[in-house]
Amino acid sequence: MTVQTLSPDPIVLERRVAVLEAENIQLTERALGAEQRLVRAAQLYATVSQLHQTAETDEVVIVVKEIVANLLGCEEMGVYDVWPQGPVCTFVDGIGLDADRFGTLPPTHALVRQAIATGALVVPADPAAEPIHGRPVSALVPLHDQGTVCGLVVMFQLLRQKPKLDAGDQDLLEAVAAHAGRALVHARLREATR
Amino acid sequence: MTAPKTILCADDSLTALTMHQMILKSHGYRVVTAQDGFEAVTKAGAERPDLILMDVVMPRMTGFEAVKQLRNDAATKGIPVIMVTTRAEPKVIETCFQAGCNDYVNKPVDGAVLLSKVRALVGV
Repeated sequence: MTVQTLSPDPIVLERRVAVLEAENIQLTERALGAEQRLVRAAQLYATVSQLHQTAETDEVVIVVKEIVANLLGCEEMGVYDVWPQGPVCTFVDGIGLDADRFGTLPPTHALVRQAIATGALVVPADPAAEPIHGRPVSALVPLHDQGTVCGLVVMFQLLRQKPKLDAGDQDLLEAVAAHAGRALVHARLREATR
Repeated sequence: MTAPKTILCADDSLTALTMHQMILKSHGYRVVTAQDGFEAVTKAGAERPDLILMDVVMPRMTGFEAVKQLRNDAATKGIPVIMVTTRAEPKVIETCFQAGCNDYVNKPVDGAVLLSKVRALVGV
């Protein structure tokens, strides 16, 4: 039996190893990216499917609270009804807030006005810059259906391990804004016809 | 071919359960669910999962109490438990380990972190 010995050029081998290491890093990054996309898809699916299973307004509000607390890491938040005449925002339910103190939102507050007027998500760069009732604001999420804002979610304090809302979180909030808005309007219509 | 590993997910939030289920199932795990600590203890005895993902704050029985019960039962005391906690303070984490959990993840759950901890405890 003959033993074949390899005596490759060390420089060629080093280059080959470098290429394989680079490929390995690329593949790992792609796998991590795919995993992150899967998690985002799972979050979106969970959000939309839960909202579409609601029939009553209080069910919609509970699901919105669950999403904001569990998927986005917010520990202080309020869900508000938005009444077009005014507009006036009245507290429906929330997490970690004093219902008396946070019973209404100041209608002249710049962020509140902006969210209701545009129907678009508002994420202040500096949460402490324009506080509401003395609390820093992480995001205002107008719940809308067919161009009409019917509710507003105000996210105040995020959990300590959640420093800010990233782009993926904002995509999720956009989904909440549209699907919760529609679910809320449908639930109100259903309740009104009883 | 080996049977898929079974993971029991216990959480009172259907949104969180749906998300955890989707992530774990897409990686080949079989998932059973419970919506409170009491149900988690019952299902752990019946299903003998390979791992339990346990929320802390749940109705009827908290995650801490459920883990203590699991550890006191010969049939379930060896099942690894990952606690899902809202609070990240060292004192809360210490309480998780004192209750008998093997690891923890913070809310909001980072899917990649969750999967790496699951793999470390039960494999792929």
